[in-house]
Amino acid sequence: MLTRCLPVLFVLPIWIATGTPVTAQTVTVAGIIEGLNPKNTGPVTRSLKQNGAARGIRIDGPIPQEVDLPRVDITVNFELDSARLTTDTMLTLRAVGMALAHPSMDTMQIQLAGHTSAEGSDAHNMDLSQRRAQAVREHLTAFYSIAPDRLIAVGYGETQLLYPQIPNSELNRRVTIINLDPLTN
Amino acid sequence: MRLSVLAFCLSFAVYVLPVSATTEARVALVMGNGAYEIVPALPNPTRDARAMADTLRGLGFTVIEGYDLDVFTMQQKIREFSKAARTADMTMFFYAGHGMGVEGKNYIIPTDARFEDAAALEFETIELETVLRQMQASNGVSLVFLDACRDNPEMTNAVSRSLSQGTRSVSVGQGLLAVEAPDNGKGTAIAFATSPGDVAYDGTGQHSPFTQALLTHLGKPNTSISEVMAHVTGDVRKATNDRQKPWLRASLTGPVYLNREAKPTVAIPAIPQPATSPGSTPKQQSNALANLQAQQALYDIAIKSDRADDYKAYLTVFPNGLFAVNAQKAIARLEKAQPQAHSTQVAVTSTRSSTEIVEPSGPLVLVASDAMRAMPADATTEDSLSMDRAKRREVQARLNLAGQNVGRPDGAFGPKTRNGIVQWQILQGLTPTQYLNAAQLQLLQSQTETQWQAWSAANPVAVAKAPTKNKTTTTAKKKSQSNGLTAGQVVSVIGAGVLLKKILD
Repeated sequence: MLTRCLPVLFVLPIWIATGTPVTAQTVTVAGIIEGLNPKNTGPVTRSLKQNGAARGIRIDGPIPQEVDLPRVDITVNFELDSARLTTDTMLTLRAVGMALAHPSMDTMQIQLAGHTSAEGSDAHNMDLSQRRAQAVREHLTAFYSIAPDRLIAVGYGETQLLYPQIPNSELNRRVTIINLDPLTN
Repeated sequence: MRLSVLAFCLSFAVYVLPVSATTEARVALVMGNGAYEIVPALPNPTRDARAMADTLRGLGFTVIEGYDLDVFTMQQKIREFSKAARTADMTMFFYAGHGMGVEGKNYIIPTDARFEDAAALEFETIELETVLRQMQASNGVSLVFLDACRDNPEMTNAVSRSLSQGTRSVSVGQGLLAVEAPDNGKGTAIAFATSPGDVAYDGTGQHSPFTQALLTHLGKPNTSISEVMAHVTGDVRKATNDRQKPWLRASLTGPVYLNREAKPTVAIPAIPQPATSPGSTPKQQSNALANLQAQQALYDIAIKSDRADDYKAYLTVFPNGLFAVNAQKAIARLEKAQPQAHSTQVAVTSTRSSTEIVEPSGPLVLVASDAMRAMPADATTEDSLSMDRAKRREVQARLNLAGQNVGRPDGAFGPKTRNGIVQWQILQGLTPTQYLNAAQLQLLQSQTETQWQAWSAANPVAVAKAPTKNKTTTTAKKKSQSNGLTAGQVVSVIGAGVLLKKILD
C-alpha cells in the first residue's frame, strides 16, 4: 500500500538532461544551471510546433513526457511516507535554490514535478508526489527567496517512470525540475 | 541506563551565548503619560514608568526618563536619548500611556494633545517610528516595550470615545512591522502589551498587568528576553483571564540577557566528581558521567571535521565544558584562517548582483526569510506534517538541543513542548503560534543537526522506540560518515568516556 521510503539515501544520484548520472558531490549550482539552459536540449520551439503541442499544454498541469524541455532530475528523499524533507535533501535543494536565484535563471518559470515508483496504489502515489513537489516548492520559497509564482508544483504519481522496465525500483522516485520558459516564449 | 541519563542531561543543557552583560553600555528611554489634559487621564502609567526606570537602573541602564510630558518635552527627551543611543551596546524604549494608529503609522500621545482636527496628528503627537529610528543608530540590541492598546480608534469624535474606556490605545499597522527591516547588528525585539486589534488594560492595582509582569520577570538572573516574554505572556493572560495577550515581534540573532551573572548556575557539573566523594548522590554521579560523554561526543565531531561551526556547537551546549578553552582556541585559529568560512547562505543574495556562479559549501545554514515568516503555522500545518510519535520525540529532542527545555522527549506535545516551540519561534523572529509548519521544522532540523547526530547516536534506546528503527540507525551512520565519523566511532568515544571516568575514580 505505502511506498517504502528510506529516511535518507546517502548517495544522491543526479541525471542531467544529457543522461549522465553523477553523484551527490557533483550536485552543483553550475550543473543545474547548465541542465536547465534551453540551448542544451533539442530545438525546443520547433519540436513543439511539429507536434502541434504548443497550444494544448497547460503549464500549471502535467506535461507529456515527449515534450522536450530543459530538465534536471534530482533524487530527493523524504522521511517515511511523508512530505518531510531530510537534511541531505535540503543540502541538494541548496544547490537548486542558488541555481534558480542566479541572474541567468531568475525570471524563468519552473515546474517541480514529483514522481514515485509504481509501488503502492495509483491514487496514493499521486497524492504523495503532489505533496512532495509542494514541499520542495515551499522550501525553495522559504529559504532561497524564490518568488512563489515562478514555481509550479505538480504531482505525476507513477505515470512517468524513469525506468519503466523496473517500475517498483526506488530509482524512479525523484523530483524533476523543468524549465517552462521555452513554452511561454 | 547510562544513555538515557545522557538524554536527560542533554535535555537540560543550558543554551548560553557569550554576551557580556556587565561591561556593555546600556541606555533606556522611559516615558509614562497619565495626567492628560483633554483626553481621559490614566492613573497607572507614571507609576509603571517610574518602577520600570528603577528596575532598569538596577540592570545597569543609563535611564533617560520623563513623566506626564507635553509634546515639546517628549521631543527633548527623544533628542537626548538619540545622542546617548549612538554609542550604546543595548537600547531600550519603554512607553506607558495613550497612543493611536492612523493609516499604518503609530503615534504616542503627549499630555497636552487636544485632537480638535486631523492636523493634531502632525503637531500634537509623536510618531513612534521617530523613536525607533534613533535606536537603529545604535549597533546593539534594541528592545521596545509598549504598554498601550492596539485597537484602531477613528479620528475626530471617535478619539475621545475610544480613549475613554480606561484602556491605552495604540494601533499597530504595517508601519511598525517595517521598522525592523533595517536591522542592525544584534537585532530588535518589540513587545506589545496586547495582540493586534486588542486593548491593554490600565490595571486596577498599582501597575498595569503588562508592566507588573515585566517588573517581576525582567531582572531575573540568566533569563533570556524570550524567556522573560514567555513568563510575561503567561502572567498577563492569567491576570486578565485571557482577555489580554501580549505580543512580540523579534529578530534577535541569539539569546539576549539583561541580567547575566558571571558564572551561570548550570545544574550539570562541568567536570565529573569522583564516585567516592562524600555527599554526592548516585544521580549526580551518573549525570556527571553522562555529561562528560556528551561533551566528548560533540567535541570529537568538531575535532574530526575541524570546522568552526562544530566547535561552536560544542560551546553552545557546554559553555563551561571540559574542552571549552580548546574549542575557543580552535575557533580563533579557524576564523583567522578563513574569516568568511560559513556565510554561504549570504552568498545567495550577493550573487544576484553578478553572474558569477558560487557553489555552496559547508554545513547547511538556513535563514528565515520574510516569505517564511508569512507562512501560516497552526494546528493544520502541523497536522499535515503527519509526525508520528517517534518523529515528535525527535522534534522534542531537537528543541532541547536548540536550548529550549521541553523536558524528556516522550512523543507527546504537552504544554512544555508548546512553550518551547513558542520560545524557539520568538528567537527566530517568527510569530509565536505554538505550532510548527514544514519550513519551521526544516529550520529547526538544520540548526540542530550536529547536536542531533551526537544525541541520536548516543541514545539508541530512545531512537529504537521508533517504528523505523533500522532506517533511523542507517541514517545516523550514514550522516556521521559525512562528517568523517561513523556511529561506531561515536560509540567508541563514549567508551573512552567511561574509561576516563574510571581513571578519575
